[in-house]
Amino acid sequence: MLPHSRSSAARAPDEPLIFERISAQRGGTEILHAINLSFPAGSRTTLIGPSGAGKSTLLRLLNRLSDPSEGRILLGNIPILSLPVMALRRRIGLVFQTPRPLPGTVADNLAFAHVITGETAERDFAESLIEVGLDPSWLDRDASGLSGGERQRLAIAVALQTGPSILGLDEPTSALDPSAARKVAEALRRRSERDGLTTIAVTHNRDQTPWLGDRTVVLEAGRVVDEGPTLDVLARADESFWLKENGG
Amino acid sequence: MKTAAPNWLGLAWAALPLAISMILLAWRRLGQVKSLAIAVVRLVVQLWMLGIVLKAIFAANNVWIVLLAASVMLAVASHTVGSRQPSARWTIRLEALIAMGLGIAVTMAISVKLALRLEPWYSPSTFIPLLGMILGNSVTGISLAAERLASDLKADRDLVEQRLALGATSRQAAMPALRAAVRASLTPVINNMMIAGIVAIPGMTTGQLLAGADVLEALRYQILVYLGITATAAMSTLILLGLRLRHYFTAAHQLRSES
Repeated sequence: MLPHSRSSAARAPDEPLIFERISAQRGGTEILHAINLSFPAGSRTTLIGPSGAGKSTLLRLLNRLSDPSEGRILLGNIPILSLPVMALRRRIGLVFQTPRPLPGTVADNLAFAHVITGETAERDFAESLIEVGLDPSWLDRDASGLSGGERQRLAIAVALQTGPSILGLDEPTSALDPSAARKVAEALRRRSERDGLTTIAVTHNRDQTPWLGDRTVVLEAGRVVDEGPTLDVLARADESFWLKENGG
Repeated sequence: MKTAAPNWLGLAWAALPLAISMILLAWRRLGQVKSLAIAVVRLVVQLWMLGIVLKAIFAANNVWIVLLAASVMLAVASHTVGSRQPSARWTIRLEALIAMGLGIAVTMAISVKLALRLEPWYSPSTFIPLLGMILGNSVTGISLAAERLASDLKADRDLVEQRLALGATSRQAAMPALRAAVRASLTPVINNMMIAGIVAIPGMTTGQLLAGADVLEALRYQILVYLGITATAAMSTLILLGLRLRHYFTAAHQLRSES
């Protein structure tokens, strides 16, 4: 069994996540071509690149919503294919692009990850909302009434409920204004520093890229075309048309 | 008390109001005249042929012939379930055959052996109409369940995957769709039982009363039929949903892409 801690208490640093010659298909088309990447435990990476580059496809591989067509993903030196999938998904969380809340209240959404493990005890989720900058009095609200930005923040709070050691985030701040986006990025940074949470965030926003990751990987047409400290990569990428187009 | 059944001339009289309606529809160019004509002809021909077949089956009074007739009815019902689905029709037909076969077998066994104490158990004049009533009334619910599961899993792909990403099993992730499918299947039969005798006199009771049966006997028969319809719909739906679910998820609890 995996040692999957549900609390956010400090834990021993986890192993790095390693992509070894990963190719992946969607709908019969190869989207990723022989990608090699390594994400050290506790690192914060942003994934940028033009639309259709394969960023979202890559995130789906993290917790096995899809499997690569070739290559393997290792957690430390263990292929994730050999780990029990449900435990893996609680250890490697995923925040979807423009997430839609599950039916029910805000509290129901936060409780889902606990309910499915058979946990019946009432929990107080106020802290979880405060962490992502949501009003703790919203627990009893119907989650479907939340705005796009509120949904994104709730989705992050929901994904953190399993106490993951790795979190993939698909444009987690796209619907947030700069100050709210900054707060969410800060919350994620605190998680990394305090708990060793590894984050891999896809973004299209040039300004937010440094907030979400110290290191940046550029994907283009399914290949890694640049990789390094975020500010260096951004300086180089400023030459490419897509970043200018989406920047700002 | 007993009413004589209408003879053919009587039926011709009974067709008069419909004929007048069709003339009015044709005159006002409101359509449906051709469909009505075809439907009436089919009704008469099909029931007439059913009569011939039933007469032969009743006369033969043979267990194998009854089982053959039951198999044909079951196959037609399964075929109907498949025909209503947008895709994977033949797979669904086969699965519906298994699901309805098991559901109806349990219901019929208990109905004829314990509830009716039929002697012999296959006595065709009871067995065949009972089977027909139960199959005919549960088949719609069963196909609605399969349809609903497919459409909900498609419309809520994102939610299903979000649940999976939080460590839910396929079944947990599909639970709202499964519940909606069960609701779709059972709502019609539940409603029928709710309104039975209040809003309408059920068809079978009507038939028995017209044929001169005792009122209380007819009602007890009707209750037996409703219990059988509901149980068959429920059991077959459970089995079919269990079989269907495997097609939407991999063993690793991944939602398959559109198939």
